[in-house]
Amino acid sequence: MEETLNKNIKTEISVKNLNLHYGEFHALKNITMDIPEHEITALIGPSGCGKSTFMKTLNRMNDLEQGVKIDGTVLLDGVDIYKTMDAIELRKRVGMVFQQPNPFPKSIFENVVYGPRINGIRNKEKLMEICERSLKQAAIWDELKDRLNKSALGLSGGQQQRLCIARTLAVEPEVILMDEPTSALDPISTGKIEELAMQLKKDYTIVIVTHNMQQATRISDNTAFFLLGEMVEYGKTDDVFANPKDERTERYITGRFG
Amino acid sequence: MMTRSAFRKELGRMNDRVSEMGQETMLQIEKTIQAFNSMSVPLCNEILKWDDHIDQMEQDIEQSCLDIVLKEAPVASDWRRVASYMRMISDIERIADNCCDIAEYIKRLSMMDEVVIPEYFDEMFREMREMVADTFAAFRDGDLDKASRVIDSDEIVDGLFERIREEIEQKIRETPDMVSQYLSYFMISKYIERMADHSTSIASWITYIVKGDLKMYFTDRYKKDLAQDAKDSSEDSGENK
Repeated sequence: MEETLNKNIKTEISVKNLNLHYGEFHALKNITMDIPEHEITALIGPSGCGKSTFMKTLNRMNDLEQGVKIDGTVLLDGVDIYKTMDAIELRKRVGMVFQQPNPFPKSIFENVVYGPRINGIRNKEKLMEICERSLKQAAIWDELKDRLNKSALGLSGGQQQRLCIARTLAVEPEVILMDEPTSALDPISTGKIEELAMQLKKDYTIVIVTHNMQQATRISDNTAFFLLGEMVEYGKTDDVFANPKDERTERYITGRFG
Repeated sequence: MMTRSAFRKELGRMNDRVSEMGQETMLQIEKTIQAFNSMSVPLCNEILKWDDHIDQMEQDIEQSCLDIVLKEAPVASDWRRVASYMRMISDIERIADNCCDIAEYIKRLSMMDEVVIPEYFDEMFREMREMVADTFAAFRDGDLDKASRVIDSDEIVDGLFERIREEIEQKIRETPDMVSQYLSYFMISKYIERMADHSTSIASWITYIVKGDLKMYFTDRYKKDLAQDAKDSSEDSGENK
């Protein structure tokens, strides 16, 4: 597969010959890709193509599942996350935002500082500072600053999702994985999350799984197309969507096969 | 399973309509050459009248392109097609407009005393006509070689324009009382040269549709001037040594 990414940008995550089996099923086939730092990389492809499975391998969300076998290497900043990194340490550095907003049934404040508390921060002032910084970074501080002690479950879907992003940011990760983060949201909330992602890439590396082609073209710098466990094409988003190299990518993004 | 079949059909229909607009414009060019050779005013009037029809075709195709962009958010080769159609129909419409411009000047000439027609007109019309015909054939067949030959031919037409310009300048000096006629001929030659330019632009969009490479061959005379300047200055510095 042709590599068409900008070679001048530093690689944050380097994946080499990654294979994943669920029992007999070969779900990821020899994936090799470099994910650049401080850019948004979109993973696209039909349901069941392996894109979410692939994303989960980046913070080891599936290696403990029964019957899963993984081989190949995933390097975060040059360090092998399967061989030489502890999973807790890894998940501090690689955060994840899910399709359905999943706030804890706690106050807004407690949701945001959940991670830092687990990591041993007890100082109330310090936690407040983290809460404010994270909510500001998630562009939701102004909406929530007067109701930090109210339940997070009372927020709208879009606000809950931004709160979940703030919760991810609170532990100061390097990478944020987003698994279809706007598929449950209306267009206005979707727009806010997209804008947020574009702001966050200044400080974080973002990998996003999306079924929304327009979203991929709007916000991502790079796009990888997955099909039947294989990464068919990976390149700059503008190139992939204007002039895909592989006929299968062309057929998928133009809707020529369902 | 094939999806978005209505969209695919609509794209196919648009392709046919762009081709049809090309054919209509080709007929206008044939009539223009015929009118020029016969100085026929009725034929000129026919050309001018038919232009509304081509303008309407442009508007209809443009509206379809806008609808498709809005409703279907096309990508990849679909996007290249829709984006290119929008640019191509504007060039085709300009070619048809240039036929009308020439028709207006033929009408003027028909009311003036005859003068000897500058020598290279036949050749210039023939080259331009062939370029436009090849452009539409290249579009119909997705023929990149043909599109590329069209792009290369532009220089021939530019060269003929330059020769006609020199000839007309000479003629105006020799017979200053015929300046109106020669200015009309000069304008006609300029419009033919523009038609070849539009043809080149369409050929570039065909290349974009088929290959995805966008390399526009605009009238890059300024580049030629720059190249000439660079050449002159290097020769000058050579002399200084």
